[in-house]
Amino acid sequence: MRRLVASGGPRWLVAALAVLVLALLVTGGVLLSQWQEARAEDERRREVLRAATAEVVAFTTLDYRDIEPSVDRVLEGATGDFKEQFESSRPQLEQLSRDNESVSEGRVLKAGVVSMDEDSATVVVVADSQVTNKSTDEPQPRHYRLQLDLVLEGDRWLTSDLQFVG
Amino acid sequence: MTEHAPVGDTKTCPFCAEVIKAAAIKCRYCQSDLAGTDADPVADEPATVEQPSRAGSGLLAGTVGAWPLIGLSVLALLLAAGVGYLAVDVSSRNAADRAEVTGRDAAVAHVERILSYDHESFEDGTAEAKRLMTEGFGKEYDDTVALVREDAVDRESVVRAEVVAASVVSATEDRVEALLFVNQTTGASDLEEPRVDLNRVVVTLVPAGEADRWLVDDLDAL
Repeated sequence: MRRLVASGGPRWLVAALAVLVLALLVTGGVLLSQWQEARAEDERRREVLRAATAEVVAFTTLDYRDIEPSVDRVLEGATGDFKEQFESSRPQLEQLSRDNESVSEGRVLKAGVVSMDEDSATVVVVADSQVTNKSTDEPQPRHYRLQLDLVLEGDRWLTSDLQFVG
Repeated sequence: MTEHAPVGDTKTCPFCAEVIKAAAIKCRYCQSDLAGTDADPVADEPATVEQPSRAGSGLLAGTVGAWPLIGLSVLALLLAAGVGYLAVDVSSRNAADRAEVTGRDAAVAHVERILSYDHESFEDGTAEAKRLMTEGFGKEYDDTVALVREDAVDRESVVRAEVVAASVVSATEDRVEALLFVNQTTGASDLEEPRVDLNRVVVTLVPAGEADRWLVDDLDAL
């Protein structure tokens, strides 16, 4: 029994170790919150780019034979002014695409973040589409430069503004 | 009470607490073997050495068993490893945040410089632009310049590139990929009006070695 006690150490060493452990816990706590914030930001960035990409694909894709779902898909990812404008132009858009027998298939080539915070973001998107209508024999390529504003509503990023960049 | 207090050449048996002779090596009450035990703390020299009673350090004086020390040491090591991992991750993340800002600024400035040229200062301009590139991309640029040079001089071209939107696709401290919308305005002897091209440019930058400086490692129009 005396041997085991002797192989321990002075009490001050234990106290020093306890202080070290405490300091590490405090440092670790601070770093952990920064680490979590960074992870949340990465996740936010992915969500923003995913939402913007989906909205642009919906915006550049339509089919006059199935026009209502085409328009619904755009509205699903929209909010605010953009949603209002798109909704109000819906009748003309649907009429026009039926008259012209328009089919457009869009795809996103690249998207990047201009700025972003917890609940809003500005994104630019490069998209191309192949457009056919009754006046074209071959699909015509269209090239787009788009800038989108997105806002977080609940757990979804919705597009509140969509502009062509001239 | 006084009967049991150790006096003179007596001590207290550590096993049965009876008062016995100081020199006893076996307790006469309980028959316990007393050799090597600390029946009398006053007579225990090594213990006195191990317990220096410094004034005001009562809590820190004395010894403790091995297990608290081992436990605390292991805990400290594990925590240190965790803190080390987090510190490396957080610091590279901070560097990436900084790269996103400085890399984007460099992308805008470098791309405007590289995609602009003037037939009157063609050689100087391209030489200056080349200083903003890595060696690898510089070779690619040379090939492009060789194709453009004659045409630019013949047509007296002046090309101005303006970035109208700048975004970051991905950023780490070692590499930044930026997506830019670039308007290129071309004036030439055979054009009545300047022509504007609306370009979409993806540019990759790598650190130049100096703080916050970047070099173009790749440039593609989509």
